[in-house]
Amino acid sequence: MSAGPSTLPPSQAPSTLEYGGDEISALVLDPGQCWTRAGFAGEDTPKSVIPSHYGYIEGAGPDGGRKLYFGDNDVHAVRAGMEIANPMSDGIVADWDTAPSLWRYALTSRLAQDLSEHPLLVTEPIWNPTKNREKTIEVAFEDFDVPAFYLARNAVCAGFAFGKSTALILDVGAANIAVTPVHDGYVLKKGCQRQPIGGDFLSNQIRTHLANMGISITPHYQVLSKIPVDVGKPAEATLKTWPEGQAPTESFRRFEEERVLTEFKECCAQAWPGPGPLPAIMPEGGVPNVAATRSFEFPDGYNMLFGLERFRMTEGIFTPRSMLASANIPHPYPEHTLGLKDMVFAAMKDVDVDIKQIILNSVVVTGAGSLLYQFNERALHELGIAFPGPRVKMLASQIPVERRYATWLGGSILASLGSFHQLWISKKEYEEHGANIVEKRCK
Amino acid sequence: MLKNDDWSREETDYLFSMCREYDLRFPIIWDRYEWPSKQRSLEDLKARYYASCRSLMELRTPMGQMSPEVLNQFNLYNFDKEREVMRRSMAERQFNKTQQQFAEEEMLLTELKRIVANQEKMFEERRDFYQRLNFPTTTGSIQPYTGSQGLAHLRDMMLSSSDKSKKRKSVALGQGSGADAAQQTPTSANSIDRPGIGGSAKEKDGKDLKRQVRKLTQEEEQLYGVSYHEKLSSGVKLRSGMVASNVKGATAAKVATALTQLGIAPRLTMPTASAVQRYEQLQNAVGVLLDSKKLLDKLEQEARVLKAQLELKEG
Ligand SMILES: Nc1ncnc2c1ncn2[C@@H]1O[C@H](COP(=O)(O)OP(=O)(O)OP(=O)(O)O)[C@@H](O)[C@H]1O
Ligand SMILES: [Mg+2]
Repeated sequence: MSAGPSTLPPSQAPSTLEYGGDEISALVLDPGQCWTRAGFAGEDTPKSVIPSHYGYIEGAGPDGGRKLYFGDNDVHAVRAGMEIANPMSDGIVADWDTAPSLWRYALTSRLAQDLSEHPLLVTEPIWNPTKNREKTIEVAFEDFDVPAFYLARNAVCAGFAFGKSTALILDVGAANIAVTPVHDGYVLKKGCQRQPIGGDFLSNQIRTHLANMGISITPHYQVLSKIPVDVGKPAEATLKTWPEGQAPTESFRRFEEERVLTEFKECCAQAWPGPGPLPAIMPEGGVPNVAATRSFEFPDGYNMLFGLERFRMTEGIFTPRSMLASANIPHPYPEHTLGLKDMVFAAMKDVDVDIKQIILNSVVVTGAGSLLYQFNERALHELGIAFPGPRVKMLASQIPVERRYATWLGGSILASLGSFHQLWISKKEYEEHGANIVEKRCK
Repeated sequence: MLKNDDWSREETDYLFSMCREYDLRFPIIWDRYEWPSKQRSLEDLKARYYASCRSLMELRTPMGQMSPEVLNQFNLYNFDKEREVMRRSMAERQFNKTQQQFAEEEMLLTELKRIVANQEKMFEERRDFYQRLNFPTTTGSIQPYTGSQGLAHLRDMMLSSSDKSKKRKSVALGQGSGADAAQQTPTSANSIDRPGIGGSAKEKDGKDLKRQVRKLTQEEEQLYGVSYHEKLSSGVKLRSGMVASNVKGATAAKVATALTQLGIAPRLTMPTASAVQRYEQLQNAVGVLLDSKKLLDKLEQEARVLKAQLELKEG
């Protein structure tokens, strides 16, 4: 076992008391900005994947408190006064009042009856502060009452999903793109890079473009019926109306708008494949086969052809200076933002020269944001520019599910390894040493 | 012995605890290493660690009393920081090479190879040339050999000494003293071994050849295998062995292989005069062909190199 520090000599069998028996498998939880993924260790996909967003209605809960709504069915249901919020911010937990409930829902709605019977492995980003880490172990032992716990770096897990303990992990999530060098199962902290140019950024770039074109997004729930219209013609749809005070909230509208944008990302947006940045002016006659226009139909029936804009919306990921801007849609400062290539370059700068080549031999691409059409082609070109001499080899699953869940899968593999038993922090150890044990044991 | 002005006891202990914690994986130790107001490079850490280990080993057992295994270990721990720093900076430079530098390097390497190959050839030619210029220097005085008596003596000496080495003799007889050879070898024996009709015909009237001078017609000449030679070398030879090789040196071997490839045996089965003549012509032609091909290859390679140089300059 190359990952993690060992606390017990390998010959010493872990106490069965400490983590149940073989028949009870561990649970693996991978909380992200966009999705919270949970499942049993040893399985290859998480059985329970719920949005990290949740709904709440003030005053509707017991004792006049908040009533919370978790899971796909409930958060997307149209309810008067239901606000949508997210306990995560920047990829880590910001709202500790709600996150434990969300996790409990993810773990118990479809998986385990009794959390006190299953060891729990939780993944975290590298920038998770000590305070948060300690809070996580507290929740696990005191709220969930798990028998054993481990906090694993999500980049290390993503590497394990590809059988690599030494790799460069390129994680395109919702809040961030993170680039992390990993050596022998340990994150090289000096090399960790992240920039707020993930899926949420892309959503805002698309919003900006649509706003600049004067296109407004009408989410599905607002449309009662629609009739087909010609390209570029105004929509002819009947919209739902709600009685005074019954209309869904603005946060709900925005959440539903995001769904349309994800659809747009899936079928319309596209990374400029390279080599080189997206040209400001297209060469005469356009660019063969990549520049073909695509049409996109919005929920209200309005449909439009998109040509080169499809690349302009995504170019900011690679060339931050080219990001689109508009007055009331937020975006990071282009001057202070590193594009993908510069991130990778900065990540590798401080890596020991003797392991650089090995690391570049397994560049693992993960995160649902990397499913952007031709993202990998472009990423490979950019890597080639950053490292012209060394051989760069990219590992990315062609199966979308594996790309989405690579981090979770790595956690699942890790937790089911026989040699991992010695790494679990037992409840007893937690009680003895307190929450800070997580800093010593989960490096 | 363990003291080091730059390293406090506490920091050294911290380093050792990190080494234990991360199993001597120095890239990770360096990544996680944090000591107030100290910036340590990876080599600093390694140097301190290994030096401390050596000191500790020496404190436990003086170097003279170490067992071979321990001594081996002790020597392994000899970490040359300066060299390591240099090696790593070189590795770093190698890692950071640009595509252009790689192309340039490759180009220079092929160029170098070409130059080295040419140089070898030139050296060989020069050596050959010098050898030709060289003549054995005489050590003794030439006084005794002046005058006709002395010269005769010299000739006898040379003949007798050349008797010892057969090679010398054949050279001397074949080239130098044609007159002697002609005396020793009867001209008529010249065709004894010739097989076929030609041979036997000649044998029959070989003795009377001079007396009955009869002009033969061309058909008759061909029929009886009569031929006239401007100059005859001495000795009896098989015509098959007389196939003169006009191609020399390395080309000869190449011609031979080329012919074998074409399915032509190196020895003619029926080496009549005309067959031998045609065979020689063939050899010549193949030789010329091979030579021109070699030249063409060389020129093409040079053209390629120049073209690449041109591209590099333009690009
Ligand atoms: N086909 C696609 N093309 C482009 N983007 C996509 C595609 N499918 C999903 N996404 C985007 O990927 C993002 C979600 O990625 P992922 O599930 O890896 O994030 P996360 O792990 O929840 O977030 P984070 O890693 O930031 O905590 C969303 O922004 C979503 O819009
Ligand atoms: Mg993620």
